[in-house]
Amino acid sequence: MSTPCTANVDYLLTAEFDNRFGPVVRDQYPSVIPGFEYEMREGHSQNNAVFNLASLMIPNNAEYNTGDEPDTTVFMLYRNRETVKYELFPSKQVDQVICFVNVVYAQEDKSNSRGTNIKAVALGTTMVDFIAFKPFVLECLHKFMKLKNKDDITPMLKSCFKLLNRAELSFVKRLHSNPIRQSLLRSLGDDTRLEKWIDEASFGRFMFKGLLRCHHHDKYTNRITLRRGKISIKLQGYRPKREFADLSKIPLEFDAVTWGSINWNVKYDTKISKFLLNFIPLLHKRDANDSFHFKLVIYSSQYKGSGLSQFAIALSNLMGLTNGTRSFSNKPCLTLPFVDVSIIGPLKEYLALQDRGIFLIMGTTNPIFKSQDGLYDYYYDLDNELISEAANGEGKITPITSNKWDMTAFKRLLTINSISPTSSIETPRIGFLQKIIESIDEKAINFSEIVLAFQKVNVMQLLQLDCRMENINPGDLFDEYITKYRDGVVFQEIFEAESFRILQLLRTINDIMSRLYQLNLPLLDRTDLLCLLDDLFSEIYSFINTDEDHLEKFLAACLRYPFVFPCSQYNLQEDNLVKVNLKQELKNCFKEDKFWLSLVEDPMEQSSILSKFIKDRSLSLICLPLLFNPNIKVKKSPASEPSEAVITPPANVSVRRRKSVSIKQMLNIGKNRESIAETSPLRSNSEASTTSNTSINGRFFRSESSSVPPSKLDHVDVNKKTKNIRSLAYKIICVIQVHFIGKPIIDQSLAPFFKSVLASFQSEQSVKEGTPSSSDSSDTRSSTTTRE
Amino acid sequence: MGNSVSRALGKLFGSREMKILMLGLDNAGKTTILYKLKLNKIRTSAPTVGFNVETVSYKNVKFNMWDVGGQERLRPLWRHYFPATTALIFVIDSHDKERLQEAKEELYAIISEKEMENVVLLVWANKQDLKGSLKPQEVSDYLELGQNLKNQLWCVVGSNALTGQGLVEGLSWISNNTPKK
Repeated sequence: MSTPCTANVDYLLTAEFDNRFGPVVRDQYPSVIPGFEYEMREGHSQNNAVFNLASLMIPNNAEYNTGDEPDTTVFMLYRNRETVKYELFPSKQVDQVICFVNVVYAQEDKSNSRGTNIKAVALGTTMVDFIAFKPFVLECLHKFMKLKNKDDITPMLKSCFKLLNRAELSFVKRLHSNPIRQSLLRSLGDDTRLEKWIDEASFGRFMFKGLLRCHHHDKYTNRITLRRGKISIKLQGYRPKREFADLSKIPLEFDAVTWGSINWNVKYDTKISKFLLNFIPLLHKRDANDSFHFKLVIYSSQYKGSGLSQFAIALSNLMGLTNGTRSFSNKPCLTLPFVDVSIIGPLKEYLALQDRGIFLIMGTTNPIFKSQDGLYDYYYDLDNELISEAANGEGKITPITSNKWDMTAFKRLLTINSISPTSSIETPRIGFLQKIIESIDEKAINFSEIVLAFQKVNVMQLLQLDCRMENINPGDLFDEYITKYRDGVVFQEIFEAESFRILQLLRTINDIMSRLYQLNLPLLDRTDLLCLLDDLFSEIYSFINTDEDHLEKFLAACLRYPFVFPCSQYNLQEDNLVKVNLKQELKNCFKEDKFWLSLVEDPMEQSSILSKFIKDRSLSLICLPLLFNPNIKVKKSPASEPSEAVITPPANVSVRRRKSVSIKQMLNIGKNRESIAETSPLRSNSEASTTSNTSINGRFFRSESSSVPPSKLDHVDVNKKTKNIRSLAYKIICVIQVHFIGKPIIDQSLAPFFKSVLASFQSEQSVKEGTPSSSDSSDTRSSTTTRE
Repeated sequence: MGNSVSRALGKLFGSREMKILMLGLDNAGKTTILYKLKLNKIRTSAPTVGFNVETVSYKNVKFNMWDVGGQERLRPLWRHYFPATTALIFVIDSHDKERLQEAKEELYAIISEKEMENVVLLVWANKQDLKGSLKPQEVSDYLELGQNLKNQLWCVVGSNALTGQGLVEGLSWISNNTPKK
């Protein structure tokens, strides 16, 4: 995908079902697609060596699509860098992917010798949100269905093509091709929040400028607005011919957030949960030594092309499969949202070349796929929610009945067999992801929330893997992860080195804060941890100041970090969590003797398991040092005796805290660094993040050796460190606050208690600097009060 | 055909199931036959873009009947439907004499495939109601099946999809000439 493409729309095609020949491409505008050159003359036999694109445009059973609206399907073509021709499947030399949105309709027509016209229009573009063009394709199809004069087809395509290409969409392309920003937007965790935040009406020019970096009018005078999570462009830069003027009345609307390599209104429904719960045990069952890859067919006789395609795309995106342009775990991957029998021949030839294996997902309404040897490893009947496994390439199917009434099982029950009465049936293993899937409330599905929950599962499992495997190369983490967990849902961006490093930092800070919460810790240990905390906050501050990408990477990692680690005492790779009560596990996470979290939220708060699990607490964590007392007075020997140093929140902070929580606990630090590793969740024998001095690209350097040896610190130094950490925490929040997503996150995610603390700190700073506070909560201004 | 008694008997004593592949040139009447058998109705059918599949029960036999579109560009795809086929039904428009040779060539292309060498072949000489149609015997003579299919069971039956004439007879022949298990 490295070749820049200036056109918004690359091709427009029309196709028709010819009663004698079958599906034929009628027009390709502005030119034929290299690699798919046909004879266009009617009645002329086509070169059989070239795949018939019309069979993708008019797929199986299109003749039944006579309902209210045309069916929609999508397909992709991959350009080969060497031949500069497009191909059906990605080769190793792919340099561009064109996504086609296709609409097809059948209409009764007495003048047709077979009584029905079946026609389709497809639009090809390199833009990620290619579905945005669907309304224009639909309008072309409506006109195409009515046109009697074949000479009118090309002018129609020309009008549409020119209209769509006379819009400056580079800002949309830039936004969609920015993986870091998209990753951040995908981590916001709430559909409503996404719609509300990405809206000029709510956040005005701050959001518009920050997100899009463009003006409200492009050079063609098209008007650009941001509404309810969509970028809307009113096309007024080109006036089509009068008979096609309706085209210019359609607003061009792109989703601001893309949800994967193929972006099509990806939604989560219970069908996806059921599939995952059926599929994951099969992946677990596979021999761990086998190379990990799979070919999956999703079949339905009830879904139309659009529904089935969206299901296949949603799965592909959740499974983190890329669309032919990059490999997944060193293997190619391919998603064919909707295919019919015409694809079988070329696909078999393509698969024969994939000697390393392939990740393949395809949707079809044709059950003949089930009898195709070698085409799949798993065959999922979406209508009946049954999954079958191809047996050793012999084409034999092993149905796996999971949740349906199984007659054979019933017969087996009735049969007196030779199994010993003492033989026990092992309960199938349920992993952590499955527990989270089971907790999804079917009546209140929120796609963003589910995606964030799955991301947090990835993070939890990744951090446990990181602890369990010593000296693992960060570059191998992703492969190790999917090999070890095999639970089918993965977000590759989490495994990127810098993102992973941030997660490690958050883990360490979280650990330190948990230790600070303990009573009666010697001052020496406290100073030790303060030094470490100072380093970590410095590292974060330096990281987010590098550039906007780094800040967004940090924010995304913050949003993904779980903070509560249910089931952390289990081995998430192997243990069977079938009997685990997730709700209880979450409650345990809030026990006040375990976490600083009890400072900022009420564990008894009524919310769903998923909401509790995904709730963002990162900014509260960052703000926590603002509570530190910068004027500690040491009374006893620091090496052996507990410190009496305490802090209080600013006197004017009136936010209710739980009575049992004492701020005094905040400055009592763990026994030593090792104790963090021993007691922190998701840790075993490694102490990766607290002791490693990882340097990534020279920009993300942290060295403990740079810290002053703790034992030599006197109380003045401790105070200095404390002040420094407080200052860093504040500066980090300030940097976040000027970011267009950071600001709403602070406004809505930061615990009210910390909002007050922050406002107070801002006032304090203002007083010291002699400048007015910028805080909204100016009524809470006062200087910090300390108690000794 | 397909009555409740036979279904009940089939459930009690077990029934055979077989895959039937119904092919032929476009507009031969394959889909009309399928739905006449399945629903006993004439469905004004648009051309078949891909396939139709229905289960038709007759006596104690369940025929999983696959009707595949016959347009020129769809014919190369027929081979994907061959696996596990018990019987091939080839439908010929007996009235379209101009395309009889084309139909014959397609039929021989199918039965020369290795996957189809053991299937039984039923030819429905359809559209017998139309004036001037070739009689089943004439179709049979034209196809020269006797000379060319020495090791394969075959039969040509006249049919009229609109009335159902010859359809039960054809299925009965298949049922009687395929292995019981």
